[in-house]
Amino acid sequence: MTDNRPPSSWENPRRGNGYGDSRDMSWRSGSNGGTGVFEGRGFMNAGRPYQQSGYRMQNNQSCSWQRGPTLCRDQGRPVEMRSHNTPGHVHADASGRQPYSTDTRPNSESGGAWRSSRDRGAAPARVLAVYSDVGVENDDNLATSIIGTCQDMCPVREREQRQRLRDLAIFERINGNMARTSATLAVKKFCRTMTVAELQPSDIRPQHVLWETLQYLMRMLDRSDYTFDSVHAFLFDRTRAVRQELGMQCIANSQAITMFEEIVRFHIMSERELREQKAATIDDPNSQLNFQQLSKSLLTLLNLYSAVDAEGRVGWLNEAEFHGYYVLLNLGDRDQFKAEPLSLWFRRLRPSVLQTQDFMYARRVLSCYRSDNYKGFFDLARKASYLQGCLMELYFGEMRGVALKAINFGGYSMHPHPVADVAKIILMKEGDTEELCKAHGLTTSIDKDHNMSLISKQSSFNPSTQAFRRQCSLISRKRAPTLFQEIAGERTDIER
Amino acid sequence: MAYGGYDATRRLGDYISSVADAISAQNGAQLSALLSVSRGSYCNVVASGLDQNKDVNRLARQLERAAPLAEMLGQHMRCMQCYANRRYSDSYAALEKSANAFLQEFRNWESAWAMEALHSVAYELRTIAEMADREMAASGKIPDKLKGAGSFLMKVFGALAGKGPKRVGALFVTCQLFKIYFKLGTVHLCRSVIRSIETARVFDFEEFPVRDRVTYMYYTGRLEVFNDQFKQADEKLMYSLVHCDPLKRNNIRMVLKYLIPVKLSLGIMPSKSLLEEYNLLEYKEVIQSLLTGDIRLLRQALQTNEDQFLRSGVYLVLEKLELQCYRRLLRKIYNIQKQKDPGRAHQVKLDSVMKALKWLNIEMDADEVECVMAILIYRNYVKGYFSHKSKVVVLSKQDPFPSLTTRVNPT
Repeated sequence: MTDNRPPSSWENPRRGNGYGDSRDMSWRSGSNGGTGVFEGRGFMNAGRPYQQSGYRMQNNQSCSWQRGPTLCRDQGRPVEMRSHNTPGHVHADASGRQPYSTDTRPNSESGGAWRSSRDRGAAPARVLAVYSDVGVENDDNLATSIIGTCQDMCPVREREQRQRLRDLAIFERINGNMARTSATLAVKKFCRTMTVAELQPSDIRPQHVLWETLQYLMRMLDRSDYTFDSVHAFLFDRTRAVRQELGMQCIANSQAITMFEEIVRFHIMSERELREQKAATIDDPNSQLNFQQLSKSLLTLLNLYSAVDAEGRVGWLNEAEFHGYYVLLNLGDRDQFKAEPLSLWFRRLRPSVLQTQDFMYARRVLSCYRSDNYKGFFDLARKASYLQGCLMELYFGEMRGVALKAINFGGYSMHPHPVADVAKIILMKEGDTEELCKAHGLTTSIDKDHNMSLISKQSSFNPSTQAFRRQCSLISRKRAPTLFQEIAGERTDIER
Repeated sequence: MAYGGYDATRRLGDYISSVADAISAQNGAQLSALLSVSRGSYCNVVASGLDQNKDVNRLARQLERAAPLAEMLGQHMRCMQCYANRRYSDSYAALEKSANAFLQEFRNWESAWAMEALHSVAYELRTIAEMADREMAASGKIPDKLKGAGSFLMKVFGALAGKGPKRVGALFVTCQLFKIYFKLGTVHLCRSVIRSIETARVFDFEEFPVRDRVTYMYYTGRLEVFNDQFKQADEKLMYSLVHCDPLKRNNIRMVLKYLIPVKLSLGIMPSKSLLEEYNLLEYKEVIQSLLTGDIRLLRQALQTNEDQFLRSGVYLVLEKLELQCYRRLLRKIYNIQKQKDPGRAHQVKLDSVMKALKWLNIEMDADEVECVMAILIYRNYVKGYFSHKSKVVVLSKQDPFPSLTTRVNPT
């Protein structure tokens, strides 16, 4: 499959990539306006990220932003594996991340794993089930047996139509012209009302094109020329189309898993980035839509883990990470008749997932949440990976409220509780904590040691958490240097 | 062989006659026995009869005797034939057609004489659907028969849920539905049937057969457990336990499996003999830890039996008992202090708690201990207050450890 080369070598036409000569390479070369973005404005540190990661890998140093408390991912990937990702190899996992956790055999079934499911005539029903039983609303899912042949990010038919209708997103326009786009810029839109009858193979992108499209999209996240909002909206729609086509073609293999993993990470990250931009509340419609798609993609991904045969290996590398996200997303689910209570969901998990560090972490968070152990909860938050932190942050308001409630209720009235001490525990600055107290109806005052303190037993406590939402800088600091890195992680096949 | 063939055909004819007789005599119990597939004794007779049957017209004429259930019986026999030949998907497909035909007739009848037979069919629908699903999964197909059985049984429920003598059979069908939904993990679908049973005025719960009531309370009790509603879970599971036939020891055990964690959450401990009698020894160490305040033991017990507890869905409930464990530990410290210096016993330094935890190999810093104390106080496990400045918990002089069963939980 494709190797992901760093931006600096994108000008070189690909050789021996298995696509054949007829493939239109125009959307890859750096000459026209499309990928110019990578050299110029948007992708500012064009050279640096790859160098950074190369440096990091060579020296095997741990970096402050490496995901989470788990090291098993990095430990599980033996150093020797990198040599397999040289250009000559065509191998199943183009992402460079090994999807298998414990097996150290070289990946000898190169290409076999993902090709075989396409070579079969009809998709096996287990694969159909992956895509068809996601969630209650199921409007996006059509299972067909079409194998797509479109080689561009956007089928020609659609491109021409949208040019005519002047229906081009900002990112798709050549020089801002609303009626002109190109194969390198246009990306297929999500279409809810597609019917199987109208579909032609040339309208559907095959797996390798979907992969390339997704990588192109994810790299847009670090653009500094547009607000995150607009980039997110574009990506939200276009990744949905990617997911739709994966489902339509019933593609279920390790690369599909990686794609879904990246998309889920995108949605998790977006939650937070959107909140940061807008100080949106949890009822914000954009936030809700993002949430909905986050849930759907995550559920499909979890189905994929079970449905795709890991071929003798113990499990998928990142399976625990994403099962952990599921738990974190459903911490507070007190909905009386939720489709599946967490207790029932736990029943179905494999021991290989249950006992991993990532998942144990999520379980500890769940345990602290359920016992109102705010200290334990925030201690765990300190150790969270960026994405885990993004999800936990959704509950910060609630847990901070619990902390204030408990302190107010049980504290000794003659000994005011210094606000600074509370702040440290709930991961806030002292000034912000004061404001939080006020938002909850608690007054603070200076005590005789000149510390801002909280006097307990105030009866005016109100539980509202809507009033106060501020980003936690500790979590912000955990983020990878670029959003793309956060989503795609290290790429071991990047050329030095 | 001609002789064997004649015998099989004759026996098939006898079977059909028996069904016809049961229908004309309105003998529900007999019909129920005749229609049983997985639990019945007629499958082989029917299967070999059909396999060997050469005369289709004669068979059709025989079936007519079983009117108005002729169509149903035809499909039902096909179901039995497939079942005997281990073709479960086909068997289920025929069964659903049979059940459909049955339901149509049943709806028209005034009396509920065929209720037992209908129940038998409902039971078979679920059972054979499960087997069909396993068969499908093994051959790489999406299992969907059980889901289909669920939809069909909702129709059956609808037919029974009105006024009249038929309503008394609705709870049995409800329980079949519960079993299906629990198996499929789609427990949110339980909501509508529960609402029908509990709010519709046509149902007087106590009028249902006791066996159905016990099963119903068992499942709804479990749902309450999954949703952390312990008081309601206690009521329902206790109802189930109290009304359960004492000879049905396995059923009692199943109820206890869920009732024990609930009772523990309410501070009530089962006796060791109960655990031994019903083979629920996985709870022994949990209970021991609650009695001594040994948090380390509790965590160990949860880990040792993790698989079992996760599979039954009580793990999260048991995990929550840790707070109770802390309460007991605090109480022990308090009791020890009372012996040494009764006047000052109610003041417990955070340091003492930390030391006790350290002795249990649990490292907790002062802030975290304070947090736990604060929560214990807030949740009324303990009466008193804490001083951040002096790092001490001051217990109330009166009733510092209110009873767990009667405490008012503010959250």
